[in-house]
Amino acid sequence: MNLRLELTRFLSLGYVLSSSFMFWMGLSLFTDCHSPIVVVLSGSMEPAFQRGDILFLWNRNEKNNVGDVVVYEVAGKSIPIVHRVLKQHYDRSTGEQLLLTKGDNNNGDDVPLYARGNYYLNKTKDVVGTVKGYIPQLGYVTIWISENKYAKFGLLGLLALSSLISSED
Amino acid sequence: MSKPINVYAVPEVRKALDEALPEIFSRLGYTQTFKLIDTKLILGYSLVVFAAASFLLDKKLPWEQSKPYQQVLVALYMILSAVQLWFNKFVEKGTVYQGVKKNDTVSVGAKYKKHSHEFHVSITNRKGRSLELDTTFTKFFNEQGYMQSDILFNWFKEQLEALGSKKTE
Repeated sequence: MNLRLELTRFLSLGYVLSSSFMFWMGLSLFTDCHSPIVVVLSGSMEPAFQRGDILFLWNRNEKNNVGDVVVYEVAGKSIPIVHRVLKQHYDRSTGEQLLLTKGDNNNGDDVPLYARGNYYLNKTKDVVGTVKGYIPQLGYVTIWISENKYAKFGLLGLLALSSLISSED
Repeated sequence: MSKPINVYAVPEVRKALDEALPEIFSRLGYTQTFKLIDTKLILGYSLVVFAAASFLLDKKLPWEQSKPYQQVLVALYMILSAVQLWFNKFVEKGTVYQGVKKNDTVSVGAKYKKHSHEFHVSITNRKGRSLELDTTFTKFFNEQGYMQSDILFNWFKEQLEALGSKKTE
């Protein structure tokens, strides 16, 4: 009925979505990393990181040291992997840093995981970011939600319910 | 005519009073002006548009390609947020109604407290003369939560007369 009133109400929903997305985007630009916060999905880095740990990444470093824990993405595979740098050297012709990684809890290094024919990761092209901090276990919520089909609906229901009950603004 | 509200919830009272004011003032012969509300809406929706553009860009382009555009969008978003903050704090300042009547204008501001039935009303006319009033909203709602429009109408009428007589002094 009242257009301005409806627009104002709709805007408050828009603020919630837009501010959280722009915060994420700002953080991405600040860290120079397209996903600055990731959740560990596998146990390959135990006992350093468990499944469900939240990691904070930073990608403004020029090079990585041996011992750094990095998150990398292999072209064609969309799942990022968190592993430790085992060896590093520089390509003499391009000057780019090349890394060999391994999961602390794995028996062998990561060569089988790399793109076919590659024996090293390229620091500038493949590495998403270096781990600079973490929160233990808290990310388990997101694993639970993405792996349990009922959890998703449960959470949506909870959100809908809370938006019905609360009118605080 | 109207729905009852929960008189113990300040946000509900605020919403009910905000929505009732245009009718009260039209009974007093004023026509509402929307300059402040429209500015606010334009500012707010521009923010949402920037965020939406950033979101779409993020979906369509790979990270490295979209970075320069994202930098511009995030910068614009931050500047506009600052403008909006300034606008809310120094221009709007809790204004809930603005109206004109022949050659007079009226601007009503309201400040509510948390967990209190007392609130502060300021009424300003064209000549910049204003009334600062502390009152309680228990006067304007009955126990069941129905708004007492006539009491509210008479109260504003009295205040406007007081403001008018202040002018002639």
